[in-house]
Amino acid sequence: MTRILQVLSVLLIGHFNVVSQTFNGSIKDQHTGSPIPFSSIYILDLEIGIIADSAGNFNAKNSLPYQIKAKFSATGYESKVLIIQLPATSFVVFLEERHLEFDEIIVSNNQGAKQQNNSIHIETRKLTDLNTIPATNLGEAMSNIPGVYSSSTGTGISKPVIRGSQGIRVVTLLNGLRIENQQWGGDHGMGMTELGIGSVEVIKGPSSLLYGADALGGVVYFIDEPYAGANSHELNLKTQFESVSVGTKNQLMYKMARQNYRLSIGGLFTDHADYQLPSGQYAQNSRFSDRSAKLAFGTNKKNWAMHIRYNFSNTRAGIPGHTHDSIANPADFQVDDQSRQRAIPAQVFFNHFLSIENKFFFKRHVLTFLGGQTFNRLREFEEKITIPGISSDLYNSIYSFKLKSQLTENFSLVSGYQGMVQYNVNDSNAEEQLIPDALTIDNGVFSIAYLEKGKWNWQGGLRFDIRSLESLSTFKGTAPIQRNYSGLNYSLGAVRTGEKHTVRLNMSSGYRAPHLSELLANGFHHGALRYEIGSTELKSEKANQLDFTYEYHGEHLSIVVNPFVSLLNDYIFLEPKDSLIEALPVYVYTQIDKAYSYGLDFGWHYHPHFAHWLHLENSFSHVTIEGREGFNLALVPQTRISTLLKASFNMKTKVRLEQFTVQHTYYFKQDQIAAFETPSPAYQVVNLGAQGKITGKFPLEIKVGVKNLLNARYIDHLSRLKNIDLPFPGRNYYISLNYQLTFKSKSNEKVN
Amino acid sequence: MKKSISLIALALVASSFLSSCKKNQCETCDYYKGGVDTELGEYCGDDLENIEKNGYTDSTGTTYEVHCGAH
Repeated sequence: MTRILQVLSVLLIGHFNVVSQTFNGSIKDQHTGSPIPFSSIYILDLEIGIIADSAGNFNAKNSLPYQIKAKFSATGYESKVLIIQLPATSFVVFLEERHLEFDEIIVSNNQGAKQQNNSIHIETRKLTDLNTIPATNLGEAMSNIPGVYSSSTGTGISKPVIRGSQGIRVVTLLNGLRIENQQWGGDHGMGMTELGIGSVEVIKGPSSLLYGADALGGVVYFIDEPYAGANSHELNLKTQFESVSVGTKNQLMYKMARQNYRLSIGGLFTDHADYQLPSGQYAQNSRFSDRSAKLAFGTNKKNWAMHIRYNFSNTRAGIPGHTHDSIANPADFQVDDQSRQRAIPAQVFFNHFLSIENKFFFKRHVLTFLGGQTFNRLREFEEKITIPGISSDLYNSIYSFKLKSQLTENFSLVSGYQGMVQYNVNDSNAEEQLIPDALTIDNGVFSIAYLEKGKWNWQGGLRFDIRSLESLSTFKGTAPIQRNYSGLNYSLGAVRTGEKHTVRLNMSSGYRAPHLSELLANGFHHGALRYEIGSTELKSEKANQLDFTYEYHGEHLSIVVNPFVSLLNDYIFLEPKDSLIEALPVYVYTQIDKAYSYGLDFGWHYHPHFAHWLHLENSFSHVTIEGREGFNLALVPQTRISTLLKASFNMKTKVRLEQFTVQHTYYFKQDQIAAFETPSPAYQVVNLGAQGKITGKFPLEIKVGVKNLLNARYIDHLSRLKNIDLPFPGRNYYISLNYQLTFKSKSNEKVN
Repeated sequence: MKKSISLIALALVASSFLSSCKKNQCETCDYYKGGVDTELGEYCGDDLENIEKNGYTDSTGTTYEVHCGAH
């Protein structure tokens, strides 16, 4: 196999007999024609950043292929994405001034197109924007995106919820690598930290076409921060303190870029004690700590580019509210003393993610091969500090071939083959096994066509997937099973982009084969506080969604209206039974024929002409999920209105205030509940933040503020601690310091 | 300067991951006898693992289940 790959590589590389291409020019203002100093050029496929000089001129000295797709941007201007045939000398790009920036480049859809030309509505956010008020964890940061919520167990364990779907219905990718971290457990966190993450894209609803089986509820696609600008070094040191848990987060990141290779390396350490409740007491055993490291290396030569990325993370999170009592006493979990000492019960995660991506550039084609290996170890400690209650390892090997072909100027095709081999193995030293050892193999082929015609962009495609699942031993009396599942999925959409108005309609489908835990679980799930029983009779879930978006982009106002409706077939869920095993409630996996999900995400951003320093953003998210008549599904997020008022200042002093932010979020009461579920009352949270900078030789960015300013006592409907009436953190003061240095390679000249 | 920065960054990242090791873990252990928690003192590394796994056997030959650490 290795030899075949080597021969293939030689054959492919043999075609690259061109010399590196010239690319230089300037970036200018559309109306005045004057150069835009220090504007930026980002070559998308190669992930190369270039900064123009003070006269707006740039000269890429990198080894470049025949054709590149590049994003040209500058502060206060609308960015442009252009496909450029090389060589190109004295290339001039004109940018138009804009007060509102709303059009980020989408990476996750294979096209690298601007959002307004994309027929699927994809939410894209920079992590810095989601952390305008710094979040304690990645899940909390992501819940600032319309339609995205966070399901949490205290502050240490959280995972994203997209339009009411979570866990195995949400596929997480990191730079294209599918992240498998045993999402099947309701209490299993995302297993990711924000280290080195630059932005996140969220696709809401079924998205099997691009991402394979399981993406029934949506996709979270994390994208690394860009490498350092060409021929420069960057050192970033960030530290954050939160009063409510006496918690610290420290991050160090070093980046460097030469002409044809780039490197980023960093580490992050987080440590939080039990968080303080609005009453002044503390949430017992809500302490947690994270350690993570990251290494990314990118290189390119002529028509070839490669990225190697490795991420490690280790999280230890206390499991607050752990009890075997059938009627829990909330007072038992609210204590007078705060502690950060290692304690049990606790959940411990180890993650290793490795990916190697190779891209080969032809005149009209880009061939991408992504290979990856992930390892996830999940341990839950309950009674013993050295002997886990459950301990499960998940090995996942991933491979993906993708050919992107620009067949004509307006028509392109992306076809590919993706697959993964998953091996799930239990630790025999653990006290309990919840699921058996098993092997799962996925394979899928897909093809998507993109057509641009005038103001219209069309997208349509098909995908076929097959999954083979085999348990490897007799498990608690159930003989080994072997199952095959398959699914044919589609996506069809169109977008019409006008000067100010954009309309977009997309239909898509998804399928999800039952997970091993849903088929064969039989045991205590300590983190989730229940006894879970699977069913081998379960069929694959299927979903179809219709998603419409209207966008208005004015000079000072932007509006997004995004209604959707989904039909879910053979929906699998955990049904509580009226029985207990060793004082833990028994839940059985079952499914219903049909369920419906519908709702609306609505948002606007106003930037008044008379006060350009002021930004007002508002979003509204609502989802309803209905089962059959008289039967509702559990854990439907509360309807939410979120408002952000941001005042930006342009001070020239050495110590300057740059921004002041007020964030208000109102959650409506949730009375759309399932059997054995209780309603959740409305609540609201107010956060305040200020951001400033001390300029000079060593500039320092400072953020200070307070979260939950009014010390409100609230429990979100998706909190796993709702059953023990344990509220979210009380008033929380924070301070964050961010120190960044950038050096140019040749002269060691400090440019920032 | 570049080399210094690289080395400092590498050293800091490496030290944060190599500074902790399971073998160094020490915890105070106890067992439950006749309605009373009896402290056994501090156990570390393999001894900690063994006492949790095998329990504590007193002079009469009775073995008790042992719990260690904060719980």
